[in-house]
Amino acid sequence: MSEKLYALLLRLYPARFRRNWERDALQLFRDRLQDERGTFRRLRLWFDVLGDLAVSAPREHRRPAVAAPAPAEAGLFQVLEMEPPRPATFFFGGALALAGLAAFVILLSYAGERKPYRDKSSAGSQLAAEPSERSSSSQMSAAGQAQFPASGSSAAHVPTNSPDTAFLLDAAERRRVIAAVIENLRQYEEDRGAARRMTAALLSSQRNGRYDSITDGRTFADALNMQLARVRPGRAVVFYTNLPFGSITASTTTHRIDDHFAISIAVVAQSRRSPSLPKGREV
Amino acid sequence: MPRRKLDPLPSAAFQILIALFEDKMHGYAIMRQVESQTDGRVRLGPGTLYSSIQTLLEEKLIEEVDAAEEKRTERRRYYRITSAGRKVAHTEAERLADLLRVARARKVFRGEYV
Repeated sequence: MSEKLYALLLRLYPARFRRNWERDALQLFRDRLQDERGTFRRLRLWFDVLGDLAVSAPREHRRPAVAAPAPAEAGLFQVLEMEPPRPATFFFGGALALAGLAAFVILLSYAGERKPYRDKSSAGSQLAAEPSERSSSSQMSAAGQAQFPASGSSAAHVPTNSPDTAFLLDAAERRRVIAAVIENLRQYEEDRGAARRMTAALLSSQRNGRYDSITDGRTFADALNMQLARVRPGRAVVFYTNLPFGSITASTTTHRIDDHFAISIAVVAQSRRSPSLPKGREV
Repeated sequence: MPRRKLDPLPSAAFQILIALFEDKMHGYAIMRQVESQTDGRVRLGPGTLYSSIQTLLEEKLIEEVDAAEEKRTERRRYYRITSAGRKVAHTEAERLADLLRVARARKVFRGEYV
């Protein structure tokens, strides 16, 4: 134990000294340990060693390295350290670089997760795929605000011009959206039988835990739309945007659920639409 | 003329030269010899001892020698004083003797033992 401790203390000397004398110094310490037994002698030994360390270690650090004499014609070059870096230096340097790289990669992936939305150009092209249908819902939007696509559109995700923000669904939010979708179906779906079947499909999937692992709004909207389309394709579509819609103007076919979700329910025939149709219920 | 490292000769280096004056020794034996010749007042620690040995080797006042055949298994390094080392030790001893004479003439010492 004492010898290991002294070996550690020897690290306070410069590498040049340790390279030349570490083995000898340890041997001398070992010899003194063998010869000087008893509490008083051991205490004296450590007193000697620590006192010697305090004096000689700084002196050794100040001692100039012995360099080979330079040729008379050559310029004079002086270096602080004559020895190459130790392997431990490379090891710690490499470990530090790897840790920094790992942190950078983690930060990059985290930033990627927080930016789930596609770029504006791709989103714009998606909306441009059905211009005629979208034009029918022009009554909904104000300039610079998020727009709901028209009823029957297959574009279930709404792009915005604002920067992305993170929005993660939890169980309560999923339940709230499903309840709001069911309520809107009850109010606005003119085919009552289809409304009941779509409601049953959503509740069945909810009970079976099909949505439990979904935290991304876009994926959740896709899952809901899949269930709705199985009953009556194109009748009801849930829309999602990763940014809050803000103030919007609702229409008779599209109803806001909350800041991120809306549902569009098609009207079968203009003549059958009631002028006093109530607005969608917000949650 | 560049100043020599051992000018003036440090006490530890002088003690080591005196210890090696009669025989070659390894580090621990030098330390014990110095302790003995100073009546236990000086116990050279490993740092001071090997730092002084390093300087004495660089100044060629001592040199490393092969251990005797029976001692090679110990893996210790042995040192002996060189002729230059003897000259330096002799000069230092004379300097201290002169100093001692002056101190004695000035009646620095109390008693008759010096």
